[in-house]
Amino acid sequence: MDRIYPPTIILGGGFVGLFTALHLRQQNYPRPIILIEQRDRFTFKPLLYELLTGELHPEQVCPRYADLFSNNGISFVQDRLDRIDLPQRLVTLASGKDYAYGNLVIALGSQTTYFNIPGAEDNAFPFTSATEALMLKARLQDCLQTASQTKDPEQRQRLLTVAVIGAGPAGVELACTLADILPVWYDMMGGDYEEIRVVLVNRSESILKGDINSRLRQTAKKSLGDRTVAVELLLEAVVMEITPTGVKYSHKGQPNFLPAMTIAWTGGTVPHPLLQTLSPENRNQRGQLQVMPTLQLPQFPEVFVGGDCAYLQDNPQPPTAQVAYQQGKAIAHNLKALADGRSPVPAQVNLRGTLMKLGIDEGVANIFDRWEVKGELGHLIRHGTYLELLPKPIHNFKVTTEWLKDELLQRHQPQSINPRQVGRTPLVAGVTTVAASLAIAFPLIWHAAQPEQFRQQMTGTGIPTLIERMMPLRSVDTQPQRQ
Amino acid sequence: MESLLNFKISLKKAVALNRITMGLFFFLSGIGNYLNFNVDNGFFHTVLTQRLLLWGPFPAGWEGTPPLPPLLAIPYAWLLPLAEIIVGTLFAMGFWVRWTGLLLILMTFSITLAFGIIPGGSLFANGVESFNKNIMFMTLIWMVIAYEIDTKKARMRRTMERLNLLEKTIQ
Repeated sequence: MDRIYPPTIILGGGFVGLFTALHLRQQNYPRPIILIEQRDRFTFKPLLYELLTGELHPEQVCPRYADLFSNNGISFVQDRLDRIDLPQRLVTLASGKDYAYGNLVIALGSQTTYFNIPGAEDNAFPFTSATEALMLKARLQDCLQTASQTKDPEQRQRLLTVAVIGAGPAGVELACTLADILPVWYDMMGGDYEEIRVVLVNRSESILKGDINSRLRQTAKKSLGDRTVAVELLLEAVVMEITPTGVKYSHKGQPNFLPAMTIAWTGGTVPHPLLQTLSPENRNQRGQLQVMPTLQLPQFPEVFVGGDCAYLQDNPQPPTAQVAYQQGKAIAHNLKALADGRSPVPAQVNLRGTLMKLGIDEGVANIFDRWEVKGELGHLIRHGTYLELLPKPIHNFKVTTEWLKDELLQRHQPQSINPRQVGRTPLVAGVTTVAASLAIAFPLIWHAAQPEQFRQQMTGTGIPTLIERMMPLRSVDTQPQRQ
Repeated sequence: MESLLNFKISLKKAVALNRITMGLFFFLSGIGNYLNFNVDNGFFHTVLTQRLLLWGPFPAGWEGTPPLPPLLAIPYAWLLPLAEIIVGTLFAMGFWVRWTGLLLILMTFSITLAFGIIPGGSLFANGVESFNKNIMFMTLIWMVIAYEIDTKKARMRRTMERLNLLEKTIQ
């Protein structure tokens, strides 16, 4: 008779949690799997910029867990986590339900922190989920719409200024994206797009400081300046307060104020607060749990921790999607090993480089930290890589093919538009021109190759006479010598 | 004077005029090369026998580089005028300016190499061509391409196309 095992519970449906669940199912994991997550959709965070601009649709960037787990035996529980009792092997949810587990995966990710800056939480827009991205989009479009009808130049300027707080990768990517998309939106509303200001505010003296992407600093800096409206850098600016109308900051000790009606916050994140209640002796300064190379908690080997919640003392990993994906796969592998009576193995995470979006259709790929591919090709590599990371092959395939169709067949280009308005050659007009050119060239080539035959055949049309009259030099009347 | 200072100079029109002139020049060159294809010292003969001047007149005692081998020269001779007609037309019409312009630059570069950068042997005017004017053709074409690509409006148009926003604007 089969023994009934307590379920393996995965806390958090981010990259680590989701990919752990999917890899477990792929490996025919014999025990029940329950994934507990507050939201009903997975958020593919690196593609949130595409969601903001409309390059990708919400269904592509944020698939529903219900769809991802349909017919594969993974139970999805949408609820908020209230408590984790490691000694009792029990998790309690906000709804009051308790779940006993055999194995636990803690993949709760991180949360936005505002460092207790007054007004930040109330007045700044974070950018970590689809909801937040769409809220920011709505706010921006509202400001642009109001600005297009505002006569007062000072008020209009305030409406058209966007401050992005934090010049880490998220801040740089968001600023680049906004500096390309806002002029387009505002131009469509009839405004003067050159009035738009995007200001990137950073505490330190350089962008991407201390980040895995710091090697790309020069490329990123150049891209910030090359956008449709150049991104202004406000460095060494310590944000003191965020008000509904702007940012109070201190620059080299001098207080100052940046008027801006939209303030996007990418200033920082902290691991999930629930970690503070666990294993206090094994946390680093950031609050992450120290794990063994197998990603298990030292005192509770049945518990695995990954992503932003985990800290590997000997080999710290950057908080990127590729690390989280590989950790999810490693955790799944080790859970299967435990279920099969084998020992877990250290998680292997290979960093294949970094990717950044530096505007619409522009990006940079730093491949294996050696080769930097910029521009449109960098964008294609970034986009392709992320689409391949999308969860579940069928979703991945669907989105990739949709994107490829858009990119290769220019499906975004409406067929009804006047070519003069878009500055792009409509295929029909271009091909017609080529055909007309060939029609002009054909008799000339014939005449050059077979002058006698051409003359005999075309006498009735008058073209040979016309050509003879146009020729300033005497014809040799022989075929060109072919060797 | 004031009205002259306030006179609106349209960069767009200047670039468009320049683009049409360039395209037309190549179009007519292509036709001319086919018309003069087989005449004495005509286009075909020139391509087959022309020694590449590269920089300028050969130094005394040196006969210069040999002509292109027939394997290259014959297809080049037959295809170059055709390319001039087609690509010149497309360029003049403003179609695929980036790519047609690049092809025109390459074609002009090959002609410049054939006849030398300083055909007269001196940069100072001395009765013969002092400086191959084709070089300026290349820079002008480059300017047309750069204008097409780099203006902010062009970028915005590309973005709008990319995001399918133009339909909304037109409606």
